[in-house]
Amino acid sequence: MTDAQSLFREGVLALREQQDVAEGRRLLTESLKINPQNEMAWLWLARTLSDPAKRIQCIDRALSINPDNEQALALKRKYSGVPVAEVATVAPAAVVAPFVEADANGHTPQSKAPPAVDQRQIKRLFKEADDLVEAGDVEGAIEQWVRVLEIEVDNEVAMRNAVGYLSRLKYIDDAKELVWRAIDSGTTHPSIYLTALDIARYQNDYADEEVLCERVVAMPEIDDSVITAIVGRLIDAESIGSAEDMLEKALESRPKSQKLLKQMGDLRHMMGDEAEAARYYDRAARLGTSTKEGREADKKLTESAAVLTDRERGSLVLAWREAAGIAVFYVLLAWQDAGMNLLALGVTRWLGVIVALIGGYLTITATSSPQQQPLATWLGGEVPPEQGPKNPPKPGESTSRKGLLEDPTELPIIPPAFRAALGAMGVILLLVAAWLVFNSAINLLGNPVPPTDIPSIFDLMNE
Amino acid sequence: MVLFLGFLLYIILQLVLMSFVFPLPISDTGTVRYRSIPWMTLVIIGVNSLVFILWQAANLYQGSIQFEETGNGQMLNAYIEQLYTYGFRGTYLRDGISVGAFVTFTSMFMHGDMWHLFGNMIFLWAFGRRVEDACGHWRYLVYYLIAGMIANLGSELLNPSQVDLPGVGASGAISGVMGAYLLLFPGAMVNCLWGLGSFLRLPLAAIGKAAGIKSLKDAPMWRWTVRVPAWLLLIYFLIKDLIPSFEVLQAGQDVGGVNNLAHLTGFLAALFIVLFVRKDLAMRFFSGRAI
Repeated sequence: MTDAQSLFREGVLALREQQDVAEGRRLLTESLKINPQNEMAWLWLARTLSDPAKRIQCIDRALSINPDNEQALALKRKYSGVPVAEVATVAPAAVVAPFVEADANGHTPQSKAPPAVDQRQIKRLFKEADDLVEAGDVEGAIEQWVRVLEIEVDNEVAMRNAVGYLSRLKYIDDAKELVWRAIDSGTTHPSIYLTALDIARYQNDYADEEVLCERVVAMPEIDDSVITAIVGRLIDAESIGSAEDMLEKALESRPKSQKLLKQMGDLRHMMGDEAEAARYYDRAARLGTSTKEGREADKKLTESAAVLTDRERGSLVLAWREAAGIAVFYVLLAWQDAGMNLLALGVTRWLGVIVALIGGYLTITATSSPQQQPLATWLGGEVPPEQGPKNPPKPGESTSRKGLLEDPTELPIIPPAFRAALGAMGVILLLVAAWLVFNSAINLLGNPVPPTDIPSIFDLMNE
Repeated sequence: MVLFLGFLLYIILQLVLMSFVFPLPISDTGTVRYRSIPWMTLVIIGVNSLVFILWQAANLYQGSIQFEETGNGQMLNAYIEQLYTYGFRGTYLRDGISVGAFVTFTSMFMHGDMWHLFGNMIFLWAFGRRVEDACGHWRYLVYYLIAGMIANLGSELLNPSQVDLPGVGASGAISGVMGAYLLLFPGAMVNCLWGLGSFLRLPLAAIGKAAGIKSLKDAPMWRWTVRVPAWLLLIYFLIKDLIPSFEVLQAGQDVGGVNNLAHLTGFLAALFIVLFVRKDLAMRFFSGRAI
């Protein structure tokens, strides 16, 4: 029994504190092998499963042990959509248990959408609370709001009122308990997290603040706006370091969140690190400009430096695009050299255009696209060592900068000797191509034929 | 000294007169993102200026004075010979006369007179700076030359006139730069010398100030330059070239003067700008992001 209980506690801790779902699942399963009659262990195990059918099985096992387990009933409602009537007999818990206790005992998330009967009860409780406030019985009203929170653990109105009045009455710990119960239930309401943050800051409880930030970041069901709201609050409170930490952690699990990327860009901008700000804005804008954050990031980016990424550096298509530009130049030369008659270009000039295309490509490979893939790899290129800024800012100096920002690269670069050879070959080919496409004009440059119809000033005056 | 000040005053007066009715772009308000000094634009301006000042100007201006005072047209004839030898004429390309197809380049760096040069260079400065920034120096130069060649080819192939007048000037290539600017930075604001615009702005500024509009609240009542959206300004210039071009095509003859057809076809060269802009910028352009 002791072993089963220890495993259960460790499993719950693994889930709560370390957010380690796999380890939590393993420990809970071990615990249940020893003691399959632990209803709370079944419920915690249900939380670790992604398969809805298996989850329901776990809840059913908990209900088979204790058919009145309200968390189990609430979870079943949530996951299986069991009709309200079947669970309407569930009585709300009478007492608010301390949140720490509740977690240790394996309290599970409650339903976000309480059934209709609960809504009626909630309405009644709100009315009673209002009457009590009018009558001056604030503590009585708090009791009613707490009851609402027992039915719907993260009811925003009840939470706001209860926490507000409790704070005024200096019952901060009680307010904190209510808020954390909601958080433990997995609420997604931003206001509740912000309230928890405010309480933590009021109590100078930085450990709580840190735990809160970590938990929010680790919850995949939490909307990005909750994180941005919390970060915003941290920034307002001048906890820049905490805000930065939270955003960094959040971006590890949500690297494609435009909201977070944009906010990180704003934060870096605020810190005077324009280069990093530009990188985050760029990452946000690259995800698309159809969203508000994307557009704003894109706009901010135009005010700062542009960013060159490995995707662009390594692109073969972009390198050939530049070579095509050079080929267009040679086509125009050939066209004019052929007396503006495309049909009279002839084999030599067309050959010149092809040579120009190849020469252009080689020149571009040697100069502006030495990291294109897979060519750079084939030629035995190595990833260049990461280089810091050419002129690192002095302490206290703004890191604001213009110009192209080059992201640290993971692409190999063509060795210098190869580049020099390719460049030289490219230039030679371009010169050969010029001779091929512009041959008539080059000959005429050496032996110009003076025009015979040049009028004099008197001719022009007469005309 | 007096002569120099008088010349300066003359230029300013001409500028004011030139830009009273129609806007004259002098700079853009956008920031450059890659390089702070547009070396190639400055080099092109320098080459154009040097070609005119060192090679053409003496024949033109001293020749005019000489011709007026003595009736001797020797220097003016030399100037005309320069235009007819190195200006762009279809005959030279077709029949291999003068320096053949090289005239496409020589003509691009020659100008008819000082105002022709001045007008072109001011447009090149206003729009070339950011286009060069978007391309990089060398790609910008190649694009500039391509735009000039397309302008020359376009005016020659489309012009129905039998008179093969020599074409000189950088305006075809500059039209290409303007077209590229329109494509890349349509939302930019361009500072223009525009007398009429400055007067028209007065009541707007007064109303804006009275209404407390943020952008006008702290702005001065009178401004010598007016900010005009790039798309509006460039489309205006495009239309300004489009109408006379159609007239030339319709009439089947060209009496000389401004080569609107070259400007128009130069504008179309902008379609090639995507081959010359920087890699990251090209990706932004194709994904519909701001440049």
